[in-house]
Amino acid sequence: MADRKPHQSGAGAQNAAAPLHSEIIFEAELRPHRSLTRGGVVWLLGIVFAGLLFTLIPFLGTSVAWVLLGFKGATLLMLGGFILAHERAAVLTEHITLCAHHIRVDRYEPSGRNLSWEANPYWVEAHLHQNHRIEDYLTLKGGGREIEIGAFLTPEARRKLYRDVTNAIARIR
Amino acid sequence: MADATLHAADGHEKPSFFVRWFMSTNHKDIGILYLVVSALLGFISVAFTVYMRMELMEPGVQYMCAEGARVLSGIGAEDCQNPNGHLWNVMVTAHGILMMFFVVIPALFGGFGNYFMPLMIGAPDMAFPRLNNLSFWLFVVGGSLAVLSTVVPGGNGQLGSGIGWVLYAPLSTTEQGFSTDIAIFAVHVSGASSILGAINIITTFLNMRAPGMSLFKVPLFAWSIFITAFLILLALPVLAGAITMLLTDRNFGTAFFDPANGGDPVLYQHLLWFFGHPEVYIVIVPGFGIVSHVIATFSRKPIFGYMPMVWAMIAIGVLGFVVWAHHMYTVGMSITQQSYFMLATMVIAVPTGVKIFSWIATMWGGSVQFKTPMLWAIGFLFLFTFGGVTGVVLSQAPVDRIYHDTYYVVAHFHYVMSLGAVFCIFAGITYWFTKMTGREFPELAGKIHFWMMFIGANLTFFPQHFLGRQGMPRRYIDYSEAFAFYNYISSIGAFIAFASFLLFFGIVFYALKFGRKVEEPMYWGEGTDPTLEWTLPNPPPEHTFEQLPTQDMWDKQPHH
Repeated sequence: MADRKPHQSGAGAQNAAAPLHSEIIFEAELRPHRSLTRGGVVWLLGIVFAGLLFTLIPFLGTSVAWVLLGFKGATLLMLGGFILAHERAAVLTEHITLCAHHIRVDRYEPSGRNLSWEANPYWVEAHLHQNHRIEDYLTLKGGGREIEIGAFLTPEARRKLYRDVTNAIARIR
Repeated sequence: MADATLHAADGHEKPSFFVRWFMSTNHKDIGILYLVVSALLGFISVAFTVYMRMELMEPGVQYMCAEGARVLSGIGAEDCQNPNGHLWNVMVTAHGILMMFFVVIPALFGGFGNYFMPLMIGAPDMAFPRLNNLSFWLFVVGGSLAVLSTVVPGGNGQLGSGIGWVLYAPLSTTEQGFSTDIAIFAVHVSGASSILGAINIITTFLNMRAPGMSLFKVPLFAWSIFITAFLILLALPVLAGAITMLLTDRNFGTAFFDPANGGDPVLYQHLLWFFGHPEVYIVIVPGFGIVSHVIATFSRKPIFGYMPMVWAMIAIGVLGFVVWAHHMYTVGMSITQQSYFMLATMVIAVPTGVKIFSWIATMWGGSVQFKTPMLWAIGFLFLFTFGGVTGVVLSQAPVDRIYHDTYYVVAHFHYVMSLGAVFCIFAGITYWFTKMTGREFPELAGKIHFWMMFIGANLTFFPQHFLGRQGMPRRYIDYSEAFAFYNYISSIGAFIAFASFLLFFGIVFYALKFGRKVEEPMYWGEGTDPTLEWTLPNPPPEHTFEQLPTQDMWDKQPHH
């Protein structure tokens, strides 16, 4: 279906690509679903902090406080550390930009690896594949390759993305 | 670019047996591992209790002799020349430690929580699969240390520590040998396992719910696991602190709990029970979640009052942190302190009552089917309520003045735990067995098991209320002749309950080997509570919900 070697760009996908002279006709940023907001993380850590503090207060000034502080502090740090690590893993982003003569998809992975793909939108085709492990698997074909986009979205969101991208490309043609 | 073929083929081969079961990162497999190991440790703990009930069957000491403990040779035998009170204390301690740390919570929270919570929220796995595996193996290490502690040099120049599962100072700080240190390590390791598991559960529940599943649309069992995780996160560090202080008092010359050097044994009790009371809610709250789903399914009605059920569990969790000293009414606290804890403890009855009434209201007007899981759930409803009301009796400080450390307390907590939490475990097993294994759980055998356990456990613990009222103290190897009658009945009940436990293992092995394969995902029929695990095959495939489920798959509310 496509070449099997991912094309890696250099450090930072903003290297010398075709300069985007024309106005941007369509733009989309795709991220994996995370059900807890940033504000939610603050609430969570705040509630846990308050709960752990509750029993520390009576012992402040005694040696017991140090022992309790050690374990409670470790617990809070672990919880915070793990939650933030989980948030960081959601940093995977796909950025689609479409201008009159240029379409580009940039993929930023949590590991730091950045990939990119560009093509002439006139010849680009979007496909929704059935009979695939992923329902309504969405690909863009052009520039000599076929790439997937939005594999981490819900099928509904992918179908909507397909319609949006196809309509945007149609406006160019 | 991530080329189109990246996801096309599911390339990875089936993991080998060792990798699958010893290096698991699959929440379903880890859930099963927790259930199996907790069953094994539960069997060891129950075996200890059978031995204890054999001893208590008649007045006098016939089995636990200093000259050599008897098992079968003690049946109908003369009293021992020299009773071995230390062995009795070791049995009591081991039973308590195993049950409180290594059986019920791993089965409910680690077993069912790991297996079904991610499925119910539509997550592909836990947030940190390898951390999940670490939690499991820490649990195994802790359980092994706990069993080991009974057979290494300990107090009284013998093996094992006889200090009670609560590890009260000054007995625990002065018990000879290193058995107590090993027991403390076991509890430490178990605590670490629980805290890491709780972090995993909290992150998963908050961060990996399917799109559209706002917090107040999450199923009740998932909520119960989340609340339990919160309780664990807040209570276990205090236990860790308390038992670390025991370790340093024992080994490093500190005097946190030694009055001769400025410490206070009652300080230990405060710290222990600050953990200990939330611990009992950690035991039971996942059970509440399971019972909600079972009752809804077998009444063919959605649970009555979803929001009050969620808030009641949250209230029980929060209130559970402010009532700890009702375990300490007799240590010398002021009347004011005792009054406060008395009132606070009575308040917890309110949200618990909300839940009991909601479960009854769920059944009211429903089409109730008395299948095996429903028998366990209804049995739980009645018996947990019964145990709860004796708890309210004990919450009265002047009444507890008399009942403290008697069999009335033993009867109370065994009703809520042995006839409460354990009934929830069996409800969960019979409800989800086919989903986890793909095999039918035989209905008739299941019902026989239920009735044997119901009769046996009630026969064991109901007479103990009378023993407590008559004044029989707990944690004693022997008792006066006046208590003989009810002790005899209680022991008969214990043997029936043990037989039912053996029957249960037999049923499980039979079902796994010869049980009819069930293909239908929603095998309890149309009335099944519409949570996401019922959309999956039996058993679910290795990877589930790698595709985020859509809202119509789980949101069956009439309007939203």
